[in-house]
Amino acid sequence: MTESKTDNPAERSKDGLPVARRWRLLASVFLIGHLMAIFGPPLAFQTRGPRGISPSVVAFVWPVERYAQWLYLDRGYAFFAPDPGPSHLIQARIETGYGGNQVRSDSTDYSDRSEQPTAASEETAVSESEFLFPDLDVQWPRLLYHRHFMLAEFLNDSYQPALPTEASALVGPDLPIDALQQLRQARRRYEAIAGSMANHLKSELGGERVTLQRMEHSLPDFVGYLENGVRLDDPRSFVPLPDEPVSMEELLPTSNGPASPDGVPVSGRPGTRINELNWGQPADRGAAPGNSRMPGRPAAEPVPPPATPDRRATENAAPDRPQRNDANPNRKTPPELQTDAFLTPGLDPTVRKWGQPR
Amino acid sequence: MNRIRRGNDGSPIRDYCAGWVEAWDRFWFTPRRTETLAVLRIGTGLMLLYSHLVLATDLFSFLGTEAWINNDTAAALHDGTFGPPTAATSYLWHIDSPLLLGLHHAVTIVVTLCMTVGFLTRLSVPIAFLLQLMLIHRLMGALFGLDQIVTYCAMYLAVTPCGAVWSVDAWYRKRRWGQNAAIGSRWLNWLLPADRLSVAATVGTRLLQLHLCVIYLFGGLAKARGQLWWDGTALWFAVANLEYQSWDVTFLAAYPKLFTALTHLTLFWEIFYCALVWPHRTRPIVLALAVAVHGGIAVFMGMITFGTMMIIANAVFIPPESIRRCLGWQPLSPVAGNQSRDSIDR
Repeated sequence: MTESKTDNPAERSKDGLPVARRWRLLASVFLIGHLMAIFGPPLAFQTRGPRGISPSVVAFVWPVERYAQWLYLDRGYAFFAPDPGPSHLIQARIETGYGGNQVRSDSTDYSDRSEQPTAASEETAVSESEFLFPDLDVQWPRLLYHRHFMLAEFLNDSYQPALPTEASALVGPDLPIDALQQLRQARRRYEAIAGSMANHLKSELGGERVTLQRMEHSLPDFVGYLENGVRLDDPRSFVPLPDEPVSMEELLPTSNGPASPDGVPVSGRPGTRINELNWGQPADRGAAPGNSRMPGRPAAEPVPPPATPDRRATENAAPDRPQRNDANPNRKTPPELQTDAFLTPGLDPTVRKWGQPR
Repeated sequence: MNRIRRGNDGSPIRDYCAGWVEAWDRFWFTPRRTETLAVLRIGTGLMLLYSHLVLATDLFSFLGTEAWINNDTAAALHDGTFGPPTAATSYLWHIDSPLLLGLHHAVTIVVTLCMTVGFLTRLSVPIAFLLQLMLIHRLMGALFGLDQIVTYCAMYLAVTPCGAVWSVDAWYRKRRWGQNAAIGSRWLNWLLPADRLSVAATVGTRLLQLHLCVIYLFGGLAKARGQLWWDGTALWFAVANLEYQSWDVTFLAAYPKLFTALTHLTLFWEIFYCALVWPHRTRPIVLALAVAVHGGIAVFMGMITFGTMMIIANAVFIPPESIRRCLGWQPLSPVAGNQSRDSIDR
């Protein structure tokens, strides 16, 4: 940027400004581009729907997309939005005495597969210890704790259930091949992240077998908190999130309802699109099997908040990230490809994206 | 304010367009002083320094081959292995040596310290920003709002003469050549910026101001898509989150009128920040609410770094003249005073 020399009025240009018009023009072009890079990414987040991002917004962002990515401008700014939700933690179990090295996550092996313990070694388990991340007693100062907290949220955000091996048999109009590939890619992404985390813990804490378990820490409603004396650290509020593969039935279009390109399915009824489930149907959520409400809560109580991940401080805030409810058989979990690429929407395979042929 | 005079040819459309150009030029290219940016430089530098120092205490959990997200995975998350590739890149993906990583981090800390104290700011601030950019592209998964705002502040400071005051640069320049005396070398004049009005200062200030407006606007709009921000219970669920909690204020559960009012206030403040922060009358209210909201986040919700940094960033809306007055410094020169007296947009 041309530096001003404006303490001396005589040095100003004819129109009273200290920068020549041609330089102002050049600077203005750059400024407009930069403003597009600031405004476009969060707009893309907000205009994302079951079909993908609004085509006009895609066109708007396209010229500055890579610039925004490089400068870390591709953020959604959806802090604590659309609703504050439960936290997600990582429970790590470190086992020694198996006579081999093994890294596991969610009871599924992701890495070091060649180092499976032998049957004989499995019988000689010596000890195991469990750790919960983040842990304020271990990670200090608070900023370090928060970074570990974000890692736990990142793992949960990245979660994508495994697909049945015969899923390719379902490829057709209702499950396009690229949608299936994205689901598989998202699973590989999750496995890579979980494997990396497990390897880190193995190198940090020792042991021969590391198993990761995602945990959700539910939040009490204020009525229950007041009337029932529910504690925020009630052990019942820590809900394990199992890693269960998607069944063939869940991949079938009837399980999620074929999406009409014209109509918007009503949230809560069969055929509800996953992207709509966190748009304000807490009663449905509370009633859903496997919902992260605290055990023992009477059904008539005010429902807990939706189980959408707490987006407030995570770097990859997606405004309408679907509720993680892995045990709910009526919900199909979309891939999480969009966590760091704002132009890659969450994809429900049954919903046509913009411009996608029927 | 220097009004740009233009001829009136009688065409209302042309006059209208000329008015837009005039307003655009006035908004972006009216020079301003650098005191506000100096405050931002010091605040941002301190926060960056703290962040780097904290990272140093557990560096290899975040960088290298044994990190939570190891080098290969960090690269794969961006290079197209798991989806469309992004332009985000970092050479830290390719550094496996703990020694090199340690040295790199030491250099990062030293450069950030230089930025904070204002030593060779024309170089140290852009380098500190680039080092931070490489770091955040490597730390994917461990980042949060603090990293966003501190990086943006450093980015905009990098294009400004933010070391013109309250810096080692300013001290050395004054000691060597006297207050604002001309230096023969054009290079030295750039390297050690004088305490004078600057268009670059305006551009950096405006960009950060607008960026803040976008952050709050979309933060508010995203909240408006939820239900809990509308029924007023969002604040409760925020303070009842044990993992965030640093000060237990769950007694608020007994005062639903209070916490729902605070929820509604937060939502509306965030959405309308982008409009109400510009007029003179409403700016102090909006900034006071920013201090309250982010102060609450810092004190009660365990994110003292994020809350503090957001308050620091909001200081970009404080005119440099106000900062000088607050510090009891000498009045500005007549030219500077004229430059900043007017306008809702200063």
